[in-house]
Amino acid sequence: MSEYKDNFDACLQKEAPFCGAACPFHMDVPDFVEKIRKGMWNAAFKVYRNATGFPHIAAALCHAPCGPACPLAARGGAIETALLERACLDFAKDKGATSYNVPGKHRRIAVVGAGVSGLACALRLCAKKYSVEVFARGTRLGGKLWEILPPQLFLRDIEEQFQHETYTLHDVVSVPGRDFLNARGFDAVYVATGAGGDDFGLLDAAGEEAGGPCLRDGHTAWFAGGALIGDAGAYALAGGLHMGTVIDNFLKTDKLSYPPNRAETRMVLDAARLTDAPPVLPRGGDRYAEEEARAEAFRCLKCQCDACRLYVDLCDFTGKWPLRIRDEIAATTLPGVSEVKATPAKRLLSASNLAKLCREVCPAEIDLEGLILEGRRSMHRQDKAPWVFHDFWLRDMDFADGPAAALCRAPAGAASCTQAFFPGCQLGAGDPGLVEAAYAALLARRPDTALFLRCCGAPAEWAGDEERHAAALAEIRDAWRALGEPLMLFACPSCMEAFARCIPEMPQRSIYEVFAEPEGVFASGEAGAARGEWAVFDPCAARRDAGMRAAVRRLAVTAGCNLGMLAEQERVTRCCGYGGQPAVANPAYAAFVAEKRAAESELPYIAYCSNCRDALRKAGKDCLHILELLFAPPAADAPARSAAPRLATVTERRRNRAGLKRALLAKYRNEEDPAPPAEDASAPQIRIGEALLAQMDADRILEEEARAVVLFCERTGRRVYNADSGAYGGYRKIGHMSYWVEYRPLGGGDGLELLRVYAHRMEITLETVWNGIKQDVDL
Amino acid sequence: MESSKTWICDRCKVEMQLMETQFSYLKRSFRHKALRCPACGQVYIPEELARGRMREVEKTLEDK
Ligand code: SF4
Ligand code: SF4
Ligand SMILES: [Zn+2]
Repeated sequence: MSEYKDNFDACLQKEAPFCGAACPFHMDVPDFVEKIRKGMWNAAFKVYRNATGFPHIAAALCHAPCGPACPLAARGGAIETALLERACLDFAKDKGATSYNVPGKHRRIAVVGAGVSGLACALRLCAKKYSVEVFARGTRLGGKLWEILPPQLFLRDIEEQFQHETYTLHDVVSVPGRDFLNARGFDAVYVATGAGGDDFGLLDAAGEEAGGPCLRDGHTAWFAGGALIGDAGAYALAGGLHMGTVIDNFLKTDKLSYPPNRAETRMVLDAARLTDAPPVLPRGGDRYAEEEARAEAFRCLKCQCDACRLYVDLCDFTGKWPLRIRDEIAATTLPGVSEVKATPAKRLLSASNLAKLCREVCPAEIDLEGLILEGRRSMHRQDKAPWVFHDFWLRDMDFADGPAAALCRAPAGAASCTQAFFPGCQLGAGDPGLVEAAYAALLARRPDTALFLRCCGAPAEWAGDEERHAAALAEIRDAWRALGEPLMLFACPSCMEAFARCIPEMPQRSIYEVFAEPEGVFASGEAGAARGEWAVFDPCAARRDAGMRAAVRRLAVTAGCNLGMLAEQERVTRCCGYGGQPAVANPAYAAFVAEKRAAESELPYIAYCSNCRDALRKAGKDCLHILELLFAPPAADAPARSAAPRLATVTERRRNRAGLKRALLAKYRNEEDPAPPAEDASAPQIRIGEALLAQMDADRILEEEARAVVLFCERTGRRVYNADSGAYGGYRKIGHMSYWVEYRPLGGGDGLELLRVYAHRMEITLETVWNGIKQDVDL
Repeated sequence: MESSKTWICDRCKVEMQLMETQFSYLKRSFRHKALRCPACGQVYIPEELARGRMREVEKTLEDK
């Protein structure tokens, strides 16, 4: 987990928006704008008043330096913040100063000068309930403001803002020197005597470690600011407020430091957010009507780095930022028993597609998916991951790699070979015919093409089981070496991406590039029948593989398709929802993602990953695999959906894999089918209706599993009986899962009919020990 | 066909009854009433229970 610390520390989520960084007061413009949007004028005024101290003076002094910083300045025009601020002064009803209920503090601060900077500093410190004394010639408040603003404007503002505060005003001709205030026991002094005023030696002391004009003189710390140090207008006001905070920090920490009143931002705004709408102009001259102000507020982008929120499905689905997700993962993977600690990310960890998208779209390259994979690994190592989240696919992997389905052979007669076809276990499961056809086409071009049927190990990687993943990769590497280290040809972009990453020495290419070569299988010949407009759906694993992406497009055109664009998918190439296998841990998430992808275009899609094809079809999308268009093309005028055959069920997918192996062995090795497992002749026939088959498929329950339970009940007699319905019920644990069946004998010795199949994850324990006697049944 | 109708243990030919039953999931054990044969202890979980209350408990434990 620690290797992600620096990476996540670079996150820009909390960076200030451009306007706020340029604003002398660093006002939270997005917050301000949000309140205006809602017509909450009092609240908007409060935001403005808290930022500026003296809102009327600020509105008169500020020349909106935020404007040029606004990214809309280069487009339709910067947000009219100055007009919005004035609207706030116009429309807020309650503009009374807030009275802060803070306990009084004993520390004493002197402010020399009652210009706008000194008063601003005094105001901040008064609000924190320090004891503040202002030294000014005469009792004249406002300093330079007398020369530039109407007195009633600023005098009223000063009076209003100090309404709940008390400070002592000393009428002095001049403060004779530092000793004068040191001797009076002040903890800090703020010197804001105006341009050319007395600096008490502070300007010469400028810099040093503290970073600005300040020094410590005995017990008393001295700071200079305002026009004395060159700040003018709004900057003098803002600087005074800033010094109030600086002095407060000094009094709390006793560390002399003078940070500049500057803010920088590393903010990066996603370009997709920019618009060209022009500013709303006030029809009534220089002040907005209420509705005009709200319309302008709606134009603001509320700048925020949020590429993750825009593009990463997990952030979108959970409404969480990567930093928050990081904290939740850190808490969840902390070693320890979960009774005593929170595990907020347990399900979230399993609801990611691991498609490395965040790193791709994020300006700081935050690797959210990398962290999530690491989190899964940590949970696996600690044996805290619920087994059920990945159990189905790990068993599926076992089957694909087992004797019934796995195969790795050079073709008959070839001792070694120059290339090998690795179709990926999912294509052979869903469309064994396509694997056969593609292999035949590859063999026709190159008779020494080996065939390599098995799983690439992705389920183990996605389950966070590093050991098992490494073992799968090692087997694959060894088998590839035994074949003579051939060029590996892939149909599945995910297998290909995984091997490129994990077995980098293995040369690889996609079959789509092979087929689309100038002399390739589909390059010659005239274009196929016109099929109308389609869009190619690129899988996340092909994000960086321009060659494969282009080849599939060439093949689609050859197959007679006109290609429309999937602009966003082509740009950010997101997962179809299958990757990382979230479907058991978080089915709502998997469906959410697939539906989003399906909704990007009205056009039917062409996929070249069978998992994408299946996920999109299940989300109701018209979608064909490119190999279907090439090797099993539906009639040109058939609508895609009705043309496509029904997706194979989980049961059929296993049978297809075994059947594919048998067929290929028979075809290319002249070997007889390995004898199918002998069916028990005495085993009863079991009938399963269509609806139940569909439900079992949705529940990922294999017919073989249901059959095994029925046979178990029949063999052991361990079952319950319902005299009213004539049905039997019983269960058996297979792997971790407990499977239940309800069935009924059909009349006339016609076998059995399956009525219900269901499963649960929890285990029934101690069932076979009853009244202290062990029952003779092996569940 | 409703599973609320009377189920009997096919071996002992006695009616199933709600009795304490022990379950475990993700390293946690707990007891709950389920239909059992009073003679041999065989448990019967109807579909509604498996898909309903049991699934809820499973989900809660998966999140813990
Ligand atoms: S895109 Fe998201 S994760 Fe990346 S820096 Fe911005 S806020 Fe952080
Ligand atoms: S668009 Fe809004 S939030 Fe962004 S810089 Fe401009 S005013 Fe600030
Ligand atoms: Zn019994």
